[in-house]
Amino acid sequence: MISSPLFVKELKEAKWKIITGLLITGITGASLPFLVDYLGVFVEQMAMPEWARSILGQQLGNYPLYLWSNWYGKNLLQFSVAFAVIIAGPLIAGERARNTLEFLASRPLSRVQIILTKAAAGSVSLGVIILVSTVITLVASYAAARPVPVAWFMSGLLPQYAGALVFFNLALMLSVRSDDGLKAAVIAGGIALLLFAAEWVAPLRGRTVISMMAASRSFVTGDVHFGHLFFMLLLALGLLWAALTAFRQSDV
Amino acid sequence: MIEIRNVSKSYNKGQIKAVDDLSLQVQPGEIFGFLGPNGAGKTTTIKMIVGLLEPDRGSIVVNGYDIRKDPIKVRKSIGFVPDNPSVYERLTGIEYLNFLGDMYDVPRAVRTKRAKELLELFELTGDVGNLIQSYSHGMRQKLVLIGALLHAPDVFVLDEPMVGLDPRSAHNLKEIMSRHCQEGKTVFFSTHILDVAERLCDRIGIIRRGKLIACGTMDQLRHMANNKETLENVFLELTEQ
Ligand SMILES: Nc1ncnc2c1ncn2[C@@H]1O[C@H](COP(=O)(O)OP(=O)(O)OP(=O)(O)O)[C@@H](O)[C@H]1O
Ligand SMILES: [Mg+2]
Repeated sequence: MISSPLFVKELKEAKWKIITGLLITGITGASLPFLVDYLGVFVEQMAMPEWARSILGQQLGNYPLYLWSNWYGKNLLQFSVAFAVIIAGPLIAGERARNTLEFLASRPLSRVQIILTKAAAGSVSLGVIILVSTVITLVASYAAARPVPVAWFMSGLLPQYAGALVFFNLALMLSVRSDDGLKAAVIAGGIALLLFAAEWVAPLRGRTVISMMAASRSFVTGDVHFGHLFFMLLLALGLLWAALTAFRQSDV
Repeated sequence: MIEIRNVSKSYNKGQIKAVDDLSLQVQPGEIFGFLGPNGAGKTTTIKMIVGLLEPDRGSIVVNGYDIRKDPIKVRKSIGFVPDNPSVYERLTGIEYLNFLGDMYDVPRAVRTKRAKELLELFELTGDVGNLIQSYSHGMRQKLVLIGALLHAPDVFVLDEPMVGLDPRSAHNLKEIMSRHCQEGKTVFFSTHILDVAERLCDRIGIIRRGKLIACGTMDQLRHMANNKETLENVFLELTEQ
């Protein structure tokens, strides 16, 4: 099903995206445990609405809450979604734009192999960025003498990655029919933005993929919400299936 | 061996008939030249042979494999040089060749030997470690040629392969094509360079508006025209309105 030569070529081409992604997420994650001190000064001195002051105050008194909500609820959440669409958007569209899709399609590879291999390589790249930056964040926490339970913290990765795969496969599906990788990424990113915004609408709050990724309930209970996890993985698979079907029907 | 039977292909939901009931055969050990005015349907035919386009009607058999039933085996037995040498710019030349070698399961030792010979022949040895984005058009064309030959394909399919090649490389390519057919393999190529077709091909097909209007050896084609001096005369006469 997977063509290893193509897989290797994909990783070679994605090398700089992975490195850039790791730098940005890694630096952000590593600075989180150290920024908490400045947050105190910030809360004291800045003019801000009372509700914001109270949320920040809570986080200050509770380091695990601060770390989880900033990493899984904000920084990594945004990066996961952004890198998912940036990596997946050009996977097919970019090859079409560069005229290399014809090259690929005239090799001894099936369409299914092409798309599954690309999806696999992209998911691995995305996974590496998410995993390594989270480990960096954890290590930085210990370095800042603010330890948090390791298994508890790492469990936040599961919904995070599953949700990222949803947006990855959404962008891949758009990529299959397009010759503009940036456009595919921007449209998928736009849909993600709408879901971010939906968090402000009371009936939708906590019900979007975005909030499932942040997994605030897992923070409280320490358990992974397998229902959400299953839902996101199913959605990701459905989108991958749609991408595959579209690719088999499309001209190269 | 290539066997095209009653193949038709149209674009834009049937509005543009690019290939119209085309039938032809190319035997092993034969060099077949495919000629025709711009927009006649040469590239469309070639894309169907290599599996990039599916025929609307008719069948194509390559090396005994039907393109519908065994597309992978067909592509495995073909070395294909498309009309524009678009290659992965962010790979180096050698990475590109290894990528191909891996895809066609060419053993390392065989691959190294073949690549070395071909790179030397096309004077690309010094550039093979550089990123492809630094290559000129002709260098890319040569790299694609080398890549297409790396797995020693039984059928060599080329779409206007001489474009952009310097005289020595064009000469070498012709040598390779001759050698290929002497080994009992099949060569099918499209070109606008009639001299090359005249000197190189065992048989020539002329396509116009999707239909094969003439097909045969140089002598046979001459018999079809009044002015028999050169292939150019014959071509101009046959492709006239
Ligand atoms: N992707 C496409 N969509 C619509 N029409 C197309 C497409 N590709 C080719 N055509 C049309 O099909 C016909 C045959 O085109 P084709 O590219 O096969 O010609 P050709 O013989 O290779 O020409 P040239 O010598 O210029 O390369 C032309 O009328 C062309 O306009
Ligand atoms: Mg053409």
